[in-house]
Amino acid sequence: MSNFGIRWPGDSFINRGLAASVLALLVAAGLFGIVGCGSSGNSSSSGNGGDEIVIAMLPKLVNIDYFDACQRGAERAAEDLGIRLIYDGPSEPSGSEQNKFIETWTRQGVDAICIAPNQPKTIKRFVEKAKERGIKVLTWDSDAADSGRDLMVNQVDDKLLGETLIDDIARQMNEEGEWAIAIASLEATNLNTWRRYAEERALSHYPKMKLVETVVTKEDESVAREQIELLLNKEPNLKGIIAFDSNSVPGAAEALKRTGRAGEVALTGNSTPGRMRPYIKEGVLESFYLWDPRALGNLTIRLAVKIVNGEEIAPAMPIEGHRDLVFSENDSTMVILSDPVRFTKENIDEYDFGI
Amino acid sequence: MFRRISKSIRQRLLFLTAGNLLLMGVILANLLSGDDSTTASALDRFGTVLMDAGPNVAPVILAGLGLTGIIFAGALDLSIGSMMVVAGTVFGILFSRGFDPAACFLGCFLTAFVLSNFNGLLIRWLEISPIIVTLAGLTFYRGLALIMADAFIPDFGGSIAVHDDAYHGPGQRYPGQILLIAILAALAWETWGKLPRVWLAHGCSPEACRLHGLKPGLILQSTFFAGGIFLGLAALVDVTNRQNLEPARMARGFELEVIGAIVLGGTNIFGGEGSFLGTILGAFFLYFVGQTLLYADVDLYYREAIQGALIVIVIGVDCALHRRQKLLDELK
Repeated sequence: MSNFGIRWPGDSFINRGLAASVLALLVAAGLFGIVGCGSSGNSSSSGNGGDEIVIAMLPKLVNIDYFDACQRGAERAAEDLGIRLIYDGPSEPSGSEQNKFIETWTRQGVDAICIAPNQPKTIKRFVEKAKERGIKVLTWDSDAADSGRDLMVNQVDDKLLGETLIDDIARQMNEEGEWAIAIASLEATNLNTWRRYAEERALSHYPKMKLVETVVTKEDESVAREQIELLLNKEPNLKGIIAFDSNSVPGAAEALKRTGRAGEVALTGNSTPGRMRPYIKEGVLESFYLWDPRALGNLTIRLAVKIVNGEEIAPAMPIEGHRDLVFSENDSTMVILSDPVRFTKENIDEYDFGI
Repeated sequence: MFRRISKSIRQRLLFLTAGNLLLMGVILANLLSGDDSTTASALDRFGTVLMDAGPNVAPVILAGLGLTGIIFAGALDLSIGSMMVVAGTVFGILFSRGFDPAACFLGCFLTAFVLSNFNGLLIRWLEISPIIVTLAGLTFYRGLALIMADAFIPDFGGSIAVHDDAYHGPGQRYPGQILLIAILAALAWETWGKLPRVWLAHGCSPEACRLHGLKPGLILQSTFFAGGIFLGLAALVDVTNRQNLEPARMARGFELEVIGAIVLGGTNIFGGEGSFLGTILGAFFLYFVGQTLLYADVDLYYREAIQGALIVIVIGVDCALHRRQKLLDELK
């Protein structure tokens, strides 16, 4: 006689094992079924079946300081407005992983999805599906202009930032000499748009400056340091570096410090005050730029709610806690959060962006 | 040592040695041909290239030496990058709680060592394929690191800043020395030690090992034990070379880089054949390929494609030559 009071055919050990496995699988399948039902039940309750507005927000990746700060700003806005916020995303900057989140939220029927796309070209199909279900779609942090999104909330004017960076480094280089670029990836739309504007302005305004190299730093500060050290060895006459992302700037600063080229090679870019404070206080670089990521998350949610409520988003519209809305000169569906803040040794302690 | 390794591996080692020398030659030629550099300054900069190579490639080689032993025995550990992240997070937690540098270094090393051994135990106890166990570990350990950082570091915002020089000794001041000692120890062990040969035997046939009176489970466990020591050193060198520790982002793709160096070095990914020296040469080859493309001013968009293609070409040409040699041997 076997377990459970069942007589197993043949009563052999193998058959009992096989049957037990099948039983276990059936139990597991049943449990998954129950869990599955449970989760779909949750899905409908998190959708827009009720009166509560549900906004889903998708960062490029989770668990990094910049997007954590954006999340805090978004949560603050959700609390103020009394809406439900679902903030989630991939653990690495993957476009395909992001699309799974969009698909799930579309099935759940949330009211709006706010996306910071890693691979803008791949989201179009998913945005179309969401819009077919009546879901409003916004992009933030990085755009996917051809995706059919309703609105883009940009942290800064791309052209202004790209040109500000090249103007700053040109001034530090006395508008002549060799300069180089460090960038996290060649895919991120926002970083490469700033890069393009900086390169164009260098060609048109600074004829004595020569771009000698572009290095990709793979969103890793350690890779950035190694690549910049290599660059400094390869280009002994290098006079300036623009680093376009939060890892490349501290990586480049560390490389300048270790190679003893700080002061000799100018550096600027976009990074977070928390990471750059030691370098800027030591004089490794003169300045860097950023915006308040909490304000970016906050403004994105506030605008998403307005769109869901059917309000028209127009220039000079007052938004609580933010300046009156400013739109991009080149794109009437792109809102600009603010001008970039220039951080220096003198003012870095005056700001608290939470990162 | 050379007598103990197979002819095909010997050929790969010679091939990689020649390849590394060729790549270094190309870098030197590019430095010498620069418009505005003197011979003295070009040689000086070439010296920097060589001096930087060891420290930069140290984590890959150290972790590679450990993983090579595991692969010798026919197993694999895909979670080495994620285990390094946990080790880095433990380092960060201890640092943020004011522990002195020695305690942080020890915590980092022991974490990687213990986790590697834990992987070995799981594989033995569950009798599940190492690929499946460690593939699960790939995401599990990174998640564990994030949970730990969130739980034990006040106001953890995604990264842990470590700007105190006292905490950077192994990674910034002594990476070359640590690497050199580890390489010498590994090569000596490969030459005179018995255990690496037992691992290779296990990689060829665990059943034959059992029939010979050896214990396959213990053999497999010993690879993870030795691998843990090398991984602990790799974690120590890598973590203490970083100013900011980001559990979500650090060491991404590290396991692929290491496996690439091992396979390029001639070690059979299914076990039973390989050498530590091949891994070392393979890691340097991959490093110098990247350097050479940059020094040769290859366009940014072409670099990664060429890097991938070169690896296939090297292995392809070597295999083609080897196949021809094998055919000739068989004819004899």
